[in-house]
Amino acid sequence: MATVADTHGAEHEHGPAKGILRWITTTNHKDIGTLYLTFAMIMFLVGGAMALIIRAELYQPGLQLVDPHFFNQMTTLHALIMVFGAVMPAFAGFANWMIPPMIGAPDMALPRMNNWSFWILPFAAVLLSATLFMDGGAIASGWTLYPPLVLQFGDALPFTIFSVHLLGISSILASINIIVTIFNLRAPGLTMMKMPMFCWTWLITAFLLILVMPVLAGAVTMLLFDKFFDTSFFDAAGGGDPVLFQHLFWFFGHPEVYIIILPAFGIVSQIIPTFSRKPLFGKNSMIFATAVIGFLSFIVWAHHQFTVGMPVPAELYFMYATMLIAVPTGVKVFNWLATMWKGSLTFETPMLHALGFLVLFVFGGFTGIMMSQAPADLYYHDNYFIVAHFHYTLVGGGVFAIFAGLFYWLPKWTGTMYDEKLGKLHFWLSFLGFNLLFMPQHFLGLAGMPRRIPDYAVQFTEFNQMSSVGAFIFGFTQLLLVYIVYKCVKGEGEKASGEVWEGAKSHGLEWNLPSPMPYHHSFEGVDIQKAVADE
Amino acid sequence: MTAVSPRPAGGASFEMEEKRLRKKNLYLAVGLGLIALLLYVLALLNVFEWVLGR
Repeated sequence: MATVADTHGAEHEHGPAKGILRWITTTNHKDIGTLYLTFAMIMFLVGGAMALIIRAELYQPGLQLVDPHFFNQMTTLHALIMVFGAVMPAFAGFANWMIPPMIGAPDMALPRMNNWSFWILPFAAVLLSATLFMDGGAIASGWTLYPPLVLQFGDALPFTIFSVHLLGISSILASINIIVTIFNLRAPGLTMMKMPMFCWTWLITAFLLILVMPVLAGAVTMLLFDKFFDTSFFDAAGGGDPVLFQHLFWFFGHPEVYIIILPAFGIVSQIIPTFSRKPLFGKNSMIFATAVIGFLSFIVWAHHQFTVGMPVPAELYFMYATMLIAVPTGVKVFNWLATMWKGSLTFETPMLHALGFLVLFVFGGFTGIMMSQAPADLYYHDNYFIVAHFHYTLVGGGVFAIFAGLFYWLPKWTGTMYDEKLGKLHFWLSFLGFNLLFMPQHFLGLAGMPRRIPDYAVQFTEFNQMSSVGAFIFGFTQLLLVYIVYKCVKGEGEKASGEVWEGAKSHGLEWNLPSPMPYHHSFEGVDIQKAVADE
Repeated sequence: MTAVSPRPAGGASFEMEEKRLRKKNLYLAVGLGLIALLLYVLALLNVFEWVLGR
């Protein structure tokens, strides 16, 4: 296809603006990616500190460090901050950094909106965190915000709801930007089916976000009306139904799980082929499996409500539909294994994290199949078994993929190789700490220890102590990650080549660019069509 | 907008191509935003309750 040169580039010979204004006013996808990732890292540490307060309290039976109400505030805020403040923004950071160079675009399609979608986030986070200092403290109902319990909280409720609205707006704006960028700014010759898996998984995630975030916003708006305007959407005394809120919440909440895990699938699908020195096995089936998972995520929400009670045919439907998700997920897992099969494998830090992801996510998936059985779920529900399950999928899956992606692309972003020894140390400490933290929680749950309770019966002590020690190992290991990233950003380390990883050029357009990528016009001087054809 | 973009049909200039692309981006973004808004209103109108047959 013929091309025309862009004369507009001459206006952009300058580098980034200086000082704080660069970060406030930037419309550059790389800067905004950095902002998202930095924000996510800060929130990860804040949410992690809350988790450590929870685990410190649970080190022994009885009440030691915090009062029960504060403990419940910690469980609630830890979840909200980790989901909305850490994991989702981290993936948005990866999307900002990597989608344009992966599809041969110079930037995101709507750069000003991109700036806005990031800068909403810190305000939302401050609003949410500020509720801790309000009269009566933060809300303590758990992140699910179920009425009527959540309606009993004072000033914190409207602030939390406003914060959720802002977080939702930010996610929707970012999603719109990603969809428009992928549909309209792909390089000539880069067809949809040729597009890298990371972009595909984010495209499907963006659609999920646009379809479910407004439903959450609607549900929490109704909570606000019930609290302040005397409506009774969820108040049985006024003819409403609290179970309706649960349906609305989980219509958002279940796809939310896939909003977190699909971009993780995308990152791992980029990394495993690179370190296996083979193309991704069955890429088309991977794309369809991702789309099927996205679709199924909309029609299984009530498996979170088996214990609430519903007609048996409905239970059967949600049970079988939930089990069906194992099929496309299995396609993905087997394709990753087949990619590695007879590959020329090496185990640098990104690959270690990707394999850690694979082991932990599959383990979390298996316990998920256990809980999809409606009768068995009555036994597993609302105890530490489910806490272990979702941490294996969301931390073992989501967060380990974030670590994998960070080590994989950090040399491309900074132009400096990270410290491989420290990277591997970070992986092993994280992996061991994580398993020590969450594996015992399966047994605690099966033995009957309820979740969201600051005290417990004395027979649960040993497993709780193991879990707390694991939490502190996993938590403090992340300070090592901060140090590794800091060193890399400072340029302390070996200079990274453009390709970074051996043979990476055949795994993505981004590896044709120098490291670090130019601030403006990443692809200037690069023959994109040749690079697309070579892939 | 694109550093290297396909030559528009009929020999249109780069500026015209950029303008066309911006319009295309805007329409798609507004369309997606309207879908999100519609879903918000539907949730508020309790349509989901009706769909669930409650």
